[in-house]
Amino acid sequence: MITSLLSQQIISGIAIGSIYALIALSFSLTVRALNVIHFAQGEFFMLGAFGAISCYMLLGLPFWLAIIITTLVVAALGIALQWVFYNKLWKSHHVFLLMSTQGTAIALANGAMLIWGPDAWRFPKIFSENVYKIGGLTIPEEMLWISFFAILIMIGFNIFLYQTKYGMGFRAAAQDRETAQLMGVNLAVADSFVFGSSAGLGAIGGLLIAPILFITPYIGPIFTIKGFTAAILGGLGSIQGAIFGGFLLGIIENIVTFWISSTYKDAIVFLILILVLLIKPSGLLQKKTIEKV
Amino acid sequence: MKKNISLAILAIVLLVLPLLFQSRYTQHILNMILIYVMLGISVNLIFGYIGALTLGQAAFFGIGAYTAAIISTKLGLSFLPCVLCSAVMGCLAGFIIGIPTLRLKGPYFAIATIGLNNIICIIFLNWEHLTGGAVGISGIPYASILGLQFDTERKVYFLLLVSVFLIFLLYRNMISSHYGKVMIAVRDNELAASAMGIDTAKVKVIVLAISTTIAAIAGAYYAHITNYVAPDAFPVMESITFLIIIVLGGAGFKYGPIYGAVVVVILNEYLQYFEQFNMLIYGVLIMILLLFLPSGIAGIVEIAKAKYYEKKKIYYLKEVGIDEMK
Amino acid sequence: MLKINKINVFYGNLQVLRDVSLNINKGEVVAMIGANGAGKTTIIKTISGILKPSSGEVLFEGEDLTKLKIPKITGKGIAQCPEGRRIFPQLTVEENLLMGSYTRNGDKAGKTKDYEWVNSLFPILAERRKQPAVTLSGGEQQMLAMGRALMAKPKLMLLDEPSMGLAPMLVKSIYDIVKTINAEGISVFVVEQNAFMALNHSDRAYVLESGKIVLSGTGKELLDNSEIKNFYLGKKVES
Repeated sequence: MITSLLSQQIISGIAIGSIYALIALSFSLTVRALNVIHFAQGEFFMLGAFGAISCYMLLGLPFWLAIIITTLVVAALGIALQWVFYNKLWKSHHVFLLMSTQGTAIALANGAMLIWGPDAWRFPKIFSENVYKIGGLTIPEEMLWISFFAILIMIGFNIFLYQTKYGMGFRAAAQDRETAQLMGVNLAVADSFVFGSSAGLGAIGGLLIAPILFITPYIGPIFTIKGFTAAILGGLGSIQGAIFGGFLLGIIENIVTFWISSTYKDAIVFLILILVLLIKPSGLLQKKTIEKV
Repeated sequence: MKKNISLAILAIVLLVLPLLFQSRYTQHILNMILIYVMLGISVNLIFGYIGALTLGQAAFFGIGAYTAAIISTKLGLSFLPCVLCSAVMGCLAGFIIGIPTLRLKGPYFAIATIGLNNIICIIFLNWEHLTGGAVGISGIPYASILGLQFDTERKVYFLLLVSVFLIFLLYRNMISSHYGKVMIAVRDNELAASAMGIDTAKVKVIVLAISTTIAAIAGAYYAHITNYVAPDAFPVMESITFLIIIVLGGAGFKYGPIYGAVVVVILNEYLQYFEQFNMLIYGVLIMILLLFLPSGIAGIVEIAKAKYYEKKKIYYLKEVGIDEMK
Repeated sequence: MLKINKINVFYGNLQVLRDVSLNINKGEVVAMIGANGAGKTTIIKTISGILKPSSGEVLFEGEDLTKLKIPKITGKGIAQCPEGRRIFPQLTVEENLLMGSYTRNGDKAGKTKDYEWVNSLFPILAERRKQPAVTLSGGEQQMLAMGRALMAKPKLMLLDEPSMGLAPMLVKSIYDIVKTINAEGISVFVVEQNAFMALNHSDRAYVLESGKIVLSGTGKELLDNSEIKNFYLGKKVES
């Protein structure tokens, strides 16, 4: 009985976990490449959801097209913000940098509020509402689709990063900017790739989960902090760690909700964040501490 | 001599100010400025002088407010004991939270404080029999000292003015003392400071505790002025507002909190007219400030002063932080 | 091949190089020796474009490099082994080498050929192909840095302090490799504190002091110069 309940929670956790993993990945990208903790990550996520709403519900475009357009637009926004603000700020004190991303987050959330209004939007179901029952476990089909697409995106991203020449160049730039430049890596392109893909991945997370969530302009901060917690769990700045941390957090959250308390669910997430920061700041996967912080 | 005259003028202006404005609304704004000066001082100590970016100061503000609210409504204690209890709670909370978290470097501390602020808010919201849940606690009596009731905005103004003055004196003495130099040393180069024999961890925790004590005292005043506390008054966003006060006013400058509080409170009131654009403008403002005015209003004032003295060919000792501007 | 004409380079207000001129002919090994802080690394960084001179020109095959961006300069056939190796710690050995040929588009056969050549020069790198570069020893990291530079198919290779932190045995084998590389027709410009090794293995050399070139000549001449003996080689060599 217990094991089947537990496995049920784990399975439910995987779907939301895959979304956290996407956001955590966004965080880790800017941290590892440029040591920037980008606090507007949850807002890119929120914009992703609203992008899907606009393209799919309001403009009537097919869902796949909505995905592509939204991702590209949000990625472009991420790059634009980079050029306007962070290029000038990222050599300054980390406090300024952090505050500027926080300022971006506030501006984006409220900009979205002006466009889409303060009320919650309900996205139509696009995935099938079938529920599979396998040996006492219930698995909604849409959860499977969400996890499937999220994992697909992450695999694709990993292939790009680890199997292609440009991915290699960007990884090199993340480790040693000056030398990468000597090798011929265009740093401006590498930086824009980091900011663009970071924002784009967050947006994909948002539009994938739009069908099972009420979307308001103010959902950003909670996903920022959860994505960040996931990134910290796996080791901030690590690609694989972010993905691991995302799934872990999703599962933990489900178990906590089920067995402890749903009221204090978020409080426990924050507690985990603080505890991991204090006890194992390099994340659960890493053996060494990251000195770079 | 000249300094004394200008101080006297300032004192007269501050005392006459509420009499000039008859409307209750304007007087309310004056009071909010004073509360925010306290909070600004609190944030400036830990952020401006220690360099620890806190995004959770509203939690301590809330702890102070709730402590005062609970003690005055449930135990019926009067104003001063309430402020004292709030201060003690704020100080304790500062120590308990500071000792583990201040080990975290840079942005990691900021993130821990965000988590903390959220946890405290969730507790305010859900510990219903103590905090009243989402409804909050109402019916907090007006502040009264020795039978004197502070039940109008104008009376509150003088109470706040005296309190802010006392806190400001304490704060000014602290930062101009030897300990203030130690704090700046810790902020500018922690490694070098510890190599000089400074127990940097201790300095940071003590300053945080002082800063959270001041925030909690501000909370107690807030509870007694508004007669009502609810969990939605202390979100992370409020912590960010405190930070904006300091960045705008000038982090690490003595008068930074004052400039910042005046501008932010007035700006806030004007932005009310733009309702929906309010926060958008806020966000953009932060970015522009950081880009073009990283040392805030106090920085501009210092530069202006430096130029003025330079013209008069008087050697001007640059104040802390001015060298960052160039 | 490379001709530096009276360059002046500043770090902020501090002048690091004063009217430095030098030239490197095709097929030569040219050394530059000097004490710590004399400005040796600054010269390397100016050639590769990381620093821009306030005046003067850096001509490579007749073209002024000071107006080009860093990746362009690399593409012209100037490869650098930076001071402190600067390998990419988290990339594998193989990926580090491939980073060297980043600017070479197409020419797959050429790249494969060079990759094999580098592996034959440094067999240890072939053995450690899949390891993250951070796991290599200091000497192996130096070899990797050199191998990476060779992957760019350079005409001129800039070596910044290749002997730094290495055991004498390793230093010798590094310089043997320099000889082999040079035999392939690649010009080498090496900057060193280890004057003895550098002078012994170079055709010509310059001496840099406080941002100025104070002496130049063939490696042999300088080795016999009494001032050089006193200042850079120490008594051990004299006896």
